[in-house]
Amino acid sequence: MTDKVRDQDKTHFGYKDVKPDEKEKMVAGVFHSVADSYDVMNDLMSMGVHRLWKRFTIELSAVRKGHQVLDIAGGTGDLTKQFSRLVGDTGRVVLADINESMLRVGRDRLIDQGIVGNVEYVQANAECLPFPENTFDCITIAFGLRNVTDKAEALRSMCRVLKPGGRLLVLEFSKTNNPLLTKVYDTYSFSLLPAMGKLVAGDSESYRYLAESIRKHPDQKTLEAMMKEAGFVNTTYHNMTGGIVALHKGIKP
Amino acid sequence: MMKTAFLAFLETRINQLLKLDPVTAEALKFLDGSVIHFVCLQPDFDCYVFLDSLGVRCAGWHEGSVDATLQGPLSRFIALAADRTSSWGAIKGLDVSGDQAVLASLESVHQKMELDWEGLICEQVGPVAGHSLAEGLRLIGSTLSGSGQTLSSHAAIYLEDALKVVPCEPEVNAFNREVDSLSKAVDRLSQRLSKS
Ligand SMILES: C[S@@+](CC[C@H](N)C(=O)[O-])C[C@H]1O[C@@H](n2cnc3c(N)ncnc32)[C@H](O)[C@@H]1O
Repeated sequence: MTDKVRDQDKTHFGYKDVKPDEKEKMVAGVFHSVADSYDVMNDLMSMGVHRLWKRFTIELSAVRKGHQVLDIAGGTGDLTKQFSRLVGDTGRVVLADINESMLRVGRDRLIDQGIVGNVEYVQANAECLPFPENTFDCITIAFGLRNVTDKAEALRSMCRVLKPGGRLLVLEFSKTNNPLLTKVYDTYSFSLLPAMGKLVAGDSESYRYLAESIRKHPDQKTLEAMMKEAGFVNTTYHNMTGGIVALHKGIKP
Repeated sequence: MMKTAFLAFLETRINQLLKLDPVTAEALKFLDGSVIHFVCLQPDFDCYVFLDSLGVRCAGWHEGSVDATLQGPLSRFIALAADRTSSWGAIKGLDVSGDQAVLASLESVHQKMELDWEGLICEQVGPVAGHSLAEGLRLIGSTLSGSGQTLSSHAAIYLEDALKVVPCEPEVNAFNREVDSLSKAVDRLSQRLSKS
């Protein structure tokens, strides 16, 4: 299953139906616009909790010295920073993103923090990863998959470049099954979030898109089924913060 | 999530303290790459501590092998923390197993540790907040050793209280800057008054 709607030539951009190539440009526009204020907004929007979600992702990655890791849609490099420490001098982390502004902010930030030597930066689309088959021990995509136009294609592409036995971790907003939490969360993301976006980043539209894209993203079970369809086995997921966020794991057979 | 939050907090604190104890930090470098599994049986709680050249990393989840395991009720871990002289084997109720070389290095680091952690916390965050934090840690220790309650509920209460009293670094810096500029302003004012 893909995120394409009935008409094969249409996909979602938030709540709007758009042509697939238009979505790519529109998503690019959003991330060019938010790149400089992305880190501050991330902390504000999640009240810092995104750090814990990412921390749990690192724990589940089982990455160790010498591993090859791909952090796709890696943006400003939060996960890459941690992986760089774990893989050591003998390993390698590739921070990849489709958007050059996000990649630039990420690269500058990591270099400023002295993270050099085992990190490479690659501008790439998750749907067609420019790496040979069986390259990585672990691939992570954090808060990125919902922005990808053809998610099924992206999952297949990730499976291809993973080594057999390697794991994919997808950290993404998901669905809560607590109606009260859903209501609070809706109010927060559709009213407060764009307002914060306007205040801090001077851009409410981009943050409205982010809120809408979260609602359009497949729920836990659907995403797990998509991972299986793409070729992953032993798939599981962990709900965090009442299901607002879920971490999916799959292994390449 | 609560456990992840607690471990994140613990890791930050340990690394802050290590920065202030270069002897221990240096000694730990010899254990670079080691993984220590702490298993608390009463209450039920376990965590993995990864040692590397940058300090320690605490995690609740680990799929690889471990180099050493320390297992026992919380009261035994508290006894261990308080006793810098006995060998670990002498602490009754604490099960210590794993790579003997790693264990011997850990034991020696523990015995030589210069860390007066309570004093250092006070130095960092001021006497009132520092003592509250130390008090909080002791309280967790004593309540947990006698009860069967889960660590997460205690940790939640503790974190809530501790975070109320412990200002974060930017807050402390901002406060110091404000006091500085206020005292400069008072100096300037009193100079002007004495001239007039
Ligand atoms: C919300 S940010 C997440 C950044 C980072 N992973 C984090 O968790 O903070 C989403 C990122 O996905 C990237 N992205 C969107 N579509 C992509 C695609 N098709 N391929 C690769 N990256 C993409 C965006 O450029 C953006 O940097």
